Amino acid sequence: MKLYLRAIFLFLLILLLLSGLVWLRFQNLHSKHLDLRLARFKSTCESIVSTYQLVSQTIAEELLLQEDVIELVHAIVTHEGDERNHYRGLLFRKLSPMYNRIRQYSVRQLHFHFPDGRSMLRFHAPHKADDDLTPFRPSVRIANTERREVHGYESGRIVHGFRHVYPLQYRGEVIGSVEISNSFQEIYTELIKHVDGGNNQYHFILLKDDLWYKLSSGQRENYHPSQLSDAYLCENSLAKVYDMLGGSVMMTTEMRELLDHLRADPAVAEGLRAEQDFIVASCFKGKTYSVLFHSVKNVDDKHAAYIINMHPEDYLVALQGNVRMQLIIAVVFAALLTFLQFRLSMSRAAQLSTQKFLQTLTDHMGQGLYATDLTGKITFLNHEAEKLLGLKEKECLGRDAHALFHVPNDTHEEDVCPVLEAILNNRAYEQQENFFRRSDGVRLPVELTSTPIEKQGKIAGTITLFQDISARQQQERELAETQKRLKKANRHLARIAHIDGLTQIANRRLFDQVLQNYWKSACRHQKPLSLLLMDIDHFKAYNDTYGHQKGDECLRAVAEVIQNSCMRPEDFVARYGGEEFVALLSDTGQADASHIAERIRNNLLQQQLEHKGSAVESVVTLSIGVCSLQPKLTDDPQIIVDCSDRCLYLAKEKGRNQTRSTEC
Amino acid sequence: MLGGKRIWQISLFVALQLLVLLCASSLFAAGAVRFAPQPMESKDAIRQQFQPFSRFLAANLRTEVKLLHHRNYRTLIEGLWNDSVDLAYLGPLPYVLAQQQDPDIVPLARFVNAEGDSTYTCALASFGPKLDVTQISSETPIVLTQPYSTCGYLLTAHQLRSFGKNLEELPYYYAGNHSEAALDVIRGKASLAGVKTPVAKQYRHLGLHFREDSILLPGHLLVANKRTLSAEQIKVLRTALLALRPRTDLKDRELTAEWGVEFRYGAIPVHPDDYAEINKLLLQIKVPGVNE
Repeated sequence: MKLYLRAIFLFLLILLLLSGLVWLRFQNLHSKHLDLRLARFKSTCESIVSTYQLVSQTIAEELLLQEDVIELVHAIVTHEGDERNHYRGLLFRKLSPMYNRIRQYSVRQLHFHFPDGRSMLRFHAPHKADDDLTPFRPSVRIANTERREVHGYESGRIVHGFRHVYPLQYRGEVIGSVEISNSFQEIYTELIKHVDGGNNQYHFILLKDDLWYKLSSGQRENYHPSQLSDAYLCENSLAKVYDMLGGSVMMTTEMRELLDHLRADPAVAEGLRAEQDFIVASCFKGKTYSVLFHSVKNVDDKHAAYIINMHPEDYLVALQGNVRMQLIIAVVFAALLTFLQFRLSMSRAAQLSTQKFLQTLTDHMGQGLYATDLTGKITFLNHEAEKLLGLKEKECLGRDAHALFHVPNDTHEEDVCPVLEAILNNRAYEQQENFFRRSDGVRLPVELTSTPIEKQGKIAGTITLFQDISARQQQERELAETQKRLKKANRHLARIAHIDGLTQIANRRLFDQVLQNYWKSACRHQKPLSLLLMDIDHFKAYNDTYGHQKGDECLRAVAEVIQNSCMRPEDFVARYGGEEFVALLSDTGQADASHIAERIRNNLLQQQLEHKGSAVESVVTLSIGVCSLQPKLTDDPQIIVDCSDRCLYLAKEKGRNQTRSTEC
Repeated sequence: MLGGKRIWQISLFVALQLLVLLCASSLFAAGAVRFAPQPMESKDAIRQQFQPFSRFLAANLRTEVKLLHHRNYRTLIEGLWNDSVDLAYLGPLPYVLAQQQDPDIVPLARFVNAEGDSTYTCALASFGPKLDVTQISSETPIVLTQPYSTCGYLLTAHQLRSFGKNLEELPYYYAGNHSEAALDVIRGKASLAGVKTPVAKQYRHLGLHFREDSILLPGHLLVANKRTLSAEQIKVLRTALLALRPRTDLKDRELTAEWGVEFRYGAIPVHPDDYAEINKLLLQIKVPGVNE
């Protein structure tokens, strides 16, 4: 859920950023385009007005400010009644052809004024004269009182336009002024010629405060409030009467509706209040228009009117289309980026989860684990490893494991890490016993297993598992000691089980086992086997004479003599029971056996063990039965015992202290 | 079941309703009333003089009144004859000429001047020292307004006759309107102009002199086309015009203050004999291109 929320947030953020960039670019291009249009229009207007001013200047200088004209004006000014009228007629007659010519150059009015501001002669309305212009025509007043040329826009009671007023002087004295004017109609005509062909529409609105006071009540009927603002007036003539009269069509229905629409536009209201040039773009009835407002200043350099130009903006429509396309691309890009980021996050989350799982696993596995890269630098260390080595993870990461804690053998440290060497040779490395060095310098016996880490089929590092085996080693040592003790005990028990306690030679049980083995061995090797069965003569009497204590000592002495007399290691001597002893002689024939038997008997005699109770000798003697035979597996080993016993019996029968063998 | 009598009554009622609707639609179907001011003035002058007047007409007719512009009387009169003009402001001669051939062109009212006079005169105007008409020779150009203008050929010829001059034998040309005729004299293009006396007076300040020797002419009048305007409409307009008392009534004066100076002072009824003098002159003088 968190990932989804993050993805949505990321998508919105990217979208916001990209949209912002697109919007800024659009605004920039939009503004530049409009600014350029405004500047171009302004420049065109100024150029037209300047051209008119230049034309006016030329007309004034070349045609009007001439001596004969000045003299006629002077005559008008200085005469009264019919004479004045006559001179005025002459002035009209003189300049009438010129006026007809200059009308072709868009000059609307040619008007002479008296020095006191009254009208002298209007070529554009010759029936009117002598009316006072000063209340409505500041340009006339300025030219006559300040004796300077006046250029600029000025509204009039009938016609509004751009005025060029020149003072007339006769011998240094102001005798009136002459005015050449262009109406807005002419400006409009020139604009149509110079601004973007026929796509433009124009409208002219006049500032009410600049005009209203000049108009009579009847003239006021020729105006109506502008659709854009009540502070401005529109001339009915431009909208209606001219239509009726077949004059210039100044405003189409399209423009009228657009102006109605713009009345509600705050930017337009603000611009009109500022009384400066401005331009707005407006979407209306599915079309985009730029509507620019060019402020027209009057001769006092105060805002007096607006020339409004409406232009269908194919460029802005294309720009909007471009922006829409860019926004779509931005959405797609944001979605793609978000999707990729989402996938990456999912992958990271899964990786993190796996890592966490592995970390948990490795932290609880009870074995130390570390990973290195191919240079032996540690890249991962689990908690158990930290604990065993007495190191912190941050102390280990990035450091050479071999140098840090690896002591491969007991005696000296190797320069080349055998673990890394094995891994680089694509071999696993296992050591039952190895040594790591703890941070406190203590050598730690470990069992380690190291295997290569592969990434995309190539060895990328090592992963090493190790465990502390010091406890195990201790246990092993203890176990070995115990085993040793047990062996010793076993040997003691075996001895107890097979050794006769009195004589310290093998007992009857052991003899039975050994007989079986000697029998089989003789069978396998086809060797003769001999058995000596010995009995102390009159041993009962000995016990009776000397007591059991001495009897035991006698038995021990006899056993020792027999033991010492059987000199080959493989000769086996045992106490057969009571005062009987046996000697089992492998690979020994009859003669040798009898010889050994005699040696035993003689050696005992040489001991001179006193035996007063013996009826044979005064010393202890032995009767010996000797049996030698070739054992067969089919035979019972008991036969040799029985054979020996018969020989012994015979020896006893024959007087004791003698040897009897199977030959006898 | 409806009886035969009942069905007849319903049918009659429906027929009457349709008739009323038809009448009403014919009344309004024509749309704007087409008013043609006299063609001799400039566009600005027409706008100034006739726009307020046309609003008065529209208010009384309760319909839009559309101003028409004609460059000369001939096309205007033809407009009346071919019903493309409903109302027209005419001088005496155009009225007589129009009415002679088309009795459906009926006068509504004849306008009076500031003194309450409903007549005017024509003048022979010149520039400079007063011209001796008797000295006019065939070398001296004469400027006239239009063939259909009362003060044009007809009255100029009549006035010259009193000086023993025959206009047919003198060089003359038409300037198009009274002002241009007067100005041509000031410009020196012509030595004499035949214009309305009020127009000649307008150019006195340019040194124009004039002789006011013509007969008294009935003033300009408003005429209606009976074929395109209903009797009711004609009656409404005639009543409204004749009811105006701008010379004595302040309210009416305010109403007509912005009208043209020739018709802002009220009107009087038109009598059939008012224009008899014109008819008589037309019998005496053949105006080239008009009544030859």
